[in-house]
Amino acid sequence: MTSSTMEEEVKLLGAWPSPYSYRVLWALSLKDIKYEYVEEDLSNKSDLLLKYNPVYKKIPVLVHGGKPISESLVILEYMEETWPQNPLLPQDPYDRAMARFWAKFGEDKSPIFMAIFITVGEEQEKAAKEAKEQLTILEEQALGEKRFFGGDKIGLTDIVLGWLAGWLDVIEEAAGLKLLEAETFPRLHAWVQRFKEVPGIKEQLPDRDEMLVYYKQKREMLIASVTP
Amino acid sequence: MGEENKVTLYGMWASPFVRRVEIALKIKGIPYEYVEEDLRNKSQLLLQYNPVHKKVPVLVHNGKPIAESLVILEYIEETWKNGPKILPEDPYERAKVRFWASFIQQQLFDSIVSAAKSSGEAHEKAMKELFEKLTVFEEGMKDFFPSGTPHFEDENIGFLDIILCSLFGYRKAQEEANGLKILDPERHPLVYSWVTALNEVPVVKETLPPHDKMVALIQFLRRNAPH
Repeated sequence: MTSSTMEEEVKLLGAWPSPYSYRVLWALSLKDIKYEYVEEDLSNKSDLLLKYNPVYKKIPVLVHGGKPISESLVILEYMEETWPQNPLLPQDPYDRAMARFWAKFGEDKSPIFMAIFITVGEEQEKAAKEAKEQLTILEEQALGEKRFFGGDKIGLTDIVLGWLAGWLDVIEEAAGLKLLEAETFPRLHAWVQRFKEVPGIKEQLPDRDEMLVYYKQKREMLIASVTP
Repeated sequence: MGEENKVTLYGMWASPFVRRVEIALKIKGIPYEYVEEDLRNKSQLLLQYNPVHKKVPVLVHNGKPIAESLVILEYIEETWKNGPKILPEDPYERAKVRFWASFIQQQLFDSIVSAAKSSGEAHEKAMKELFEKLTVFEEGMKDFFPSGTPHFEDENIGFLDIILCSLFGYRKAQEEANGLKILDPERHPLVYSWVTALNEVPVVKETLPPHDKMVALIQFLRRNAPH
């Protein structure tokens, strides 16, 4: 088996408005990689998707020179190794470990945030409290005084947590509560604004109005299914 | 040991996650100090080194702490460049290894825990789910072992081998403690032969938690599990 070279064809199977899909779109954009985008209809998955990700049948899938890679964090590490320009990870092994630690933290804690969207009443209040605890950890320990989680420039952790910048406020509005308030989380709030302005990210953010319609619909369906 | 390049591993004898780090350190021939933590009475140092999760393993290298076993493994690989490699060189091969490591971690581990903790109908359901996932894993592993039988004569084990050891390390103790049989040679011959071959590798044997102690722990936890 020969290795793919940087020049071989790149294809991304994704779906709007998945934040996981956007992680890869951002990395492609930041590294200035040419690619073909394939929008998947998740209610009617293509044969291509089923062939390229038989284990999970999910997006995103990056296909490089015909070889598929699934799982967004695995894809990001692959991209970093294959296209080293505009690195997403620092050089120093300890700093890389810290980036991966916080990326994993962000990943592991995302069900807690999803919980506020899929619950109501007391359960939702409990989920909101837990979510705020995670935001506090991110604010104080992950971000601290840095401009970005990656330091002076955005990196892997920023990309993995990017959904907080592009999606959280829409989900908050659809779910009817506020988590990331500027007064409570000034650093995270500032990071959100900064993140959305980064060239490469700015042009690749889903349309807020369209997302609001999408998430509001989902929320209504969820409430209908849990309300007796 | 001088302060230069000092490596300390904070762990707990029964933890499969700690075991991963121990195996990696031994493969690379990295001298380290091991500190056993009582997880019911965590040390100040552990809480200081891993304030976010307060868990083991934590690797401290030159005074700087790293938590999360898979993050630690990648750190070890990148820092100690001499000696055997744990990950393949080729980025696509590395991606496949990381994909399956994530599958073992997120799918298989949780399934085994569910199967071990449940009883009655819930247990039947958990076992069924576990076997289905093991079948997916078995199919995926055919790609790694095209000739069918894993061999480790050169004793060079890698990332996936390490994680698999940590997953199935308790197998015999689980069987004895509560009759739980998670690996069936008929259903999953490749994985079974892989685990069997791994268990003969010295570094795997050395790091296996003592059997009787493990059986006692599993029985204790089961008796004291919340209902």
